Amino acid sequence: MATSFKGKVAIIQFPGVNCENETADAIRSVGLDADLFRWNEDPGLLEESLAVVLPGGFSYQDRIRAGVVAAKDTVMDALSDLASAGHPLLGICNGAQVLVESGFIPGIHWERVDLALAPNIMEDREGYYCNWVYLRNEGSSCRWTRLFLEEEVIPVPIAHAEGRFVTRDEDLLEQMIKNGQIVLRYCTDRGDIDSAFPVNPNGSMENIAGICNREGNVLAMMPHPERASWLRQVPEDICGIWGKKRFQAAGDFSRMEDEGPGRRFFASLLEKGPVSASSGCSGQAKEGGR
Amino acid sequence: MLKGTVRITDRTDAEVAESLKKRDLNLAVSEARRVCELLGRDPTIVELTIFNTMWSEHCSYKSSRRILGEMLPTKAANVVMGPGEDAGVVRFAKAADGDWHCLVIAHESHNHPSQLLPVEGAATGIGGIVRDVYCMGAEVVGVLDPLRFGDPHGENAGQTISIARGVVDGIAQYGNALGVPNLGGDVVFDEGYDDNCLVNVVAVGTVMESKILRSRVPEEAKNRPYKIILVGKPTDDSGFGGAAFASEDLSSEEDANRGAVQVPDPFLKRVLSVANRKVLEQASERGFSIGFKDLGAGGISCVTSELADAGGFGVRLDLDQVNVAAGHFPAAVIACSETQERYAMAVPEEFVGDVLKIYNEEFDLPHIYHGAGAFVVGDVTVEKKYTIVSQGEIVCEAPINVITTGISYDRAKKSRRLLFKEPAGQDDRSLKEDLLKVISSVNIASKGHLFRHYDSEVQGRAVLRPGEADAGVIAPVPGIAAGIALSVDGNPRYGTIDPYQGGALAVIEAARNVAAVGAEPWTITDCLNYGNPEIEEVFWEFYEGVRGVGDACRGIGLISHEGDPLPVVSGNVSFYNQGESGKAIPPSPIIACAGVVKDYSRSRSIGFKESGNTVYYVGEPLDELGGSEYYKVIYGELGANVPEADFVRERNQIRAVIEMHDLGWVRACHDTGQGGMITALAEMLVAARTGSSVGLTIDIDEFSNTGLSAEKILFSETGGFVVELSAGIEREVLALCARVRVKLHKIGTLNSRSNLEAVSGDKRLAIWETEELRDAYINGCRGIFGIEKGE
Amino acid sequence: MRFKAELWVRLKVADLVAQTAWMTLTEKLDFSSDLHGIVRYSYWGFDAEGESAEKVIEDLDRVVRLDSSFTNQNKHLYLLRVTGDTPGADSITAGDLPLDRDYPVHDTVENVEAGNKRFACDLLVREHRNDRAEGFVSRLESRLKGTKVSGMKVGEVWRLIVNASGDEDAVRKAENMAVTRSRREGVLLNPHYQTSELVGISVPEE
Repeated sequence: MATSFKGKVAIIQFPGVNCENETADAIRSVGLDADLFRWNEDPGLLEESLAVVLPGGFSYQDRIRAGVVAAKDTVMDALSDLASAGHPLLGICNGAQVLVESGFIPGIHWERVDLALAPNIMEDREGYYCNWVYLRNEGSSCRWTRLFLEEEVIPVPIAHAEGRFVTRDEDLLEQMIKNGQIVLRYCTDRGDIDSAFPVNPNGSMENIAGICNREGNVLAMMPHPERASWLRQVPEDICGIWGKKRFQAAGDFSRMEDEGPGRRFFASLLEKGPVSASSGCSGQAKEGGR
Repeated sequence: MLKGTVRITDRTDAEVAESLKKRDLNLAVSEARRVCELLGRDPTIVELTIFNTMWSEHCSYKSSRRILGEMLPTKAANVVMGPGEDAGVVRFAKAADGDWHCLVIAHESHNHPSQLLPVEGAATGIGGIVRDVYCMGAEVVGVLDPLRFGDPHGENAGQTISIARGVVDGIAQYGNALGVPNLGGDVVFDEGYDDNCLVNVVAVGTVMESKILRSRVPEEAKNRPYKIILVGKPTDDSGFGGAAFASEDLSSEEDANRGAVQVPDPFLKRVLSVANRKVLEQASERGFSIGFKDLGAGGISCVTSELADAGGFGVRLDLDQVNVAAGHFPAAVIACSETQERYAMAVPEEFVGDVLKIYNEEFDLPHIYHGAGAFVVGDVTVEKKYTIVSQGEIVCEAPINVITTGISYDRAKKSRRLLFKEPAGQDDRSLKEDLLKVISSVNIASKGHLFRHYDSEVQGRAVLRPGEADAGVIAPVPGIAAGIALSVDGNPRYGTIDPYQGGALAVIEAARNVAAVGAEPWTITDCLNYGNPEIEEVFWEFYEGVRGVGDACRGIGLISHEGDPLPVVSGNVSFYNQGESGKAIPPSPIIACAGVVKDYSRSRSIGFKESGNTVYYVGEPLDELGGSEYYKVIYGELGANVPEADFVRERNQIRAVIEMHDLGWVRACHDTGQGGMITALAEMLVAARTGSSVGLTIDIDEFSNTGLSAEKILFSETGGFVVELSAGIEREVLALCARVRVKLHKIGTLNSRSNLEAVSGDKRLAIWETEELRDAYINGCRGIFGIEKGE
Repeated sequence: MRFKAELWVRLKVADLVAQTAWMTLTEKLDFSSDLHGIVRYSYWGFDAEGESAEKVIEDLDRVVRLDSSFTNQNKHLYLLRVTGDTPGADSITAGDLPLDRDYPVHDTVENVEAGNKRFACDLLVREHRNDRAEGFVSRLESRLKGTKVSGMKVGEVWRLIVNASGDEDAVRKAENMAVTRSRREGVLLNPHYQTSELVGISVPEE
């Protein structure tokens, strides 16, 4: 627990989250400082932070519904103010569930709950599902994906039981698309969108894996980039360029300790420059690429 | 006379028996009399209850202790702490400052509770075992779960599948929420477990040697006052199921029932472990020595007496200070309840305020869980006396070594002579069909569907995940190349035919699995699951199993420390595993092996990698198909020729395979236990990278010197390894194998045909397309662990 | 003959989920003076066909008692009953859950407004998708003898014991507690994948 978050990324430690330490490690791996913020500390401390991350896990043990209890905590009042003022905020897995239950995502009507992360729909199974998937960067102005190329394929693991983005508001999807809020979609290793399991591992509408707010500073994503921040974390049988890198690094410890595909979500924070408000145009992120 | 004294000395045996039964105590009459002898008076109900738990088989190892002590090697160059603590500790890598990175490992069973309440039983098992590792000061980096269920296609199929799913669900719910990755485990289905499943759990942690916590009151308590703090869930009557307890009435029927279920709570456990870490950090920063221990069987009385006795102190405990759940509980229940998610610690008085503040205010335990928190419940005393006070009156008072003194039995054993015979062979068998049957059988087929219920990725340390290789591999410490490999094993069919080989082969198999990823077998833990030890034949099975485990540990030894055994650093014995009929489970010694790999980047998955590479068989198949998957699946028989452990051969093979990894030659490696060589090859082919096309032709004439039939060569369960090595090093490979004296057969060169072919000279025996192998292998267990909708 | 039947199941041990709901509603949202207590049940509604109401309950009872996906006697209490206008329905039950006496009060708040009293609103929360129910129907199909089940409702019932001036006020308050419309409203269901329906309202005896 830190006494000051000045210049640091604050990781909110709700009771029951369990990915806070590896998330801090992944943030530190890009050269940023990170520290844990216990849920009941003084929320004023967060104002000086560089960014805030809600890590994965089971806040309040997912009781009643994943994310809903944490969404009502007082620290979320402070985050609401910070996020609406443009502070970068990332929710990973359970953190994404908290952001959706808080109405920060999609955030078109701030704090109104317009989405749900519902129980997975899968072939021949129910409940929790842990596996590696492929994401396609949809090319938005999101603060957290600036370093990815448009349509870049990113292998990362997922591990959740409730990750299906769904809404009963028929116009919402179109609005989100128009606003450039659909940031990440599940795809095949070649980047094709296929709605069938396991390419779409949870039945999410339009294969959505991550949504940002209109302004691009808040991102809710179900996959875990912190578990894909080193090459050694990538399984041997992953396809595409990352699989090839991993395959070639076998037997070479120092190469295995190189960056993995998920690290750029955190490294994106290092990219300077303002986030354009409600840009809506896809493709802008390209320039921030490698 | 103390309050609540139970009269024993002046009562007849029949009266004592009646009195014990009435109080739901399992102590034998002779044991109750022994308590009187030790105390020099009749015991109170609290004392009697304490002895009842402390002298249970689970806590006292009264039937097994002597044999374990005689048979199992526990000392070796790498051992920091062997059995006796909550978990065993071995060094595995030296840090720059001269301190050592240590591996902490514990192994337990939760069989009976899981049979009754699969979800809660299995979850509680995980909860208990991780607590054992946490309380050594370690961070828990993984769990493994060896599971044994009945026949999913047999008479009891419905119940078996329902239990299996419940157990998997319980492990997933608890482990996933706690944030501890599942690194593997194994599942065996056998009708011998129809009425009694086995749920064993292994937890692994890491800690710096200088930071290891001891489960004892520190020496420092001689110089300044120490308090006992109890932290966690409010104490209730868990473990005192059902029956009207002791002589005191329970308030209502609902209370009477509640005790039957232990309610595990990974959420509270997670918060506790984060708070514990802060307490330990502060203690270390401020130079306070503390004692720390988790509460398991026997509850408060067991943990406090052991903490104090281990340090050479006494304790005075006030039960009125214990936070209890709503309801009224007799003193004996508070003293002995098995409520989950609790720890006890001995801390200096001046640190007490800070500790309470961390738990109760910073981590807000009372709000996290109704009634939870940290409370001072007693004092450490220099006088070596154990005293419990309840409502102002002494309810237990004895020299502390009397409380912790054990009890031991010499059980009688008698060998069972069963006649096993080999099946009569059949000439018209189709090799092609047979392999498809074997690899789709429930004990061989992919468990991928199951593993995906577990979070194997949390903590970000996984290098090889469950199912990717023979052992799970993690990179436990950021920035260092040393990896830890973990595997569990134990084949009930071997033990049924020959309990000695069952024990020895479990060790060998587990050790071979870690060697297959290039790790040196470094330590083992054992969980010895058997029937009723009072039955002579069952006790013989146990004795033989332990003898096999011990011989194998000495026989394989530490590869890098000539003369040192592979040490057993912790373990557990589970007796009375039997169905309602009284029929015991098959002898089931289950072994977990932790290995250390010098450089995790050399550990590879089992999948074949690239055409052009060479495939070798390290070892040689013998006529050893007794207990094999082939006999079971094809003939429905056990057979007789169980593989015979040859420790020298095993040690040499393991050494050869590790050296191949160290030299950077290995592209893929898989051991050939269950299902034999052809099954291993099929699995390696199926696991080849998506989109890559590799294939292999195996010519069994290479093995003609064995004089065995094609089926026996291909399905023999004699231990060996299949390795895929880079091309062009044949001479070096031969030289290495000659030097370490292992047999080597070149099977062939990987081609790009996406099939597996078996030939004998120019005669084709069978050919399998990779796709048909994959279908058979992937879908064999789908009906069991693919959760049916509506559950 | 066709009957409607219901199975209500609750934990014997402390229900941590209900406790959390209680704490969230009373401490994090502003319902401390409106809410007296919460109970949570698993709920199954059956459209059944059988020779008599008694036989339907008897057949269903045999299955739900033994199948751990419905109940496990080590940890659950349950009530199986016929509903609707079947004559004598009240006495056709099985199980050990005293549903009509299950009104725990957690708070210490007195009724704040004169004339208000306690109402127990039973809200059934389930998913829009009905495939869990379909799964149960096929599960029952293979296990039931005699009785047939053609349709089901599967979900959770939240019994909210609220302080209200009348039925309508009680239901309105219960729905406000239940439906998450925004960060500051409701906790028990997210309307984007769940629905709620009132399946009972009763007045506990003081």
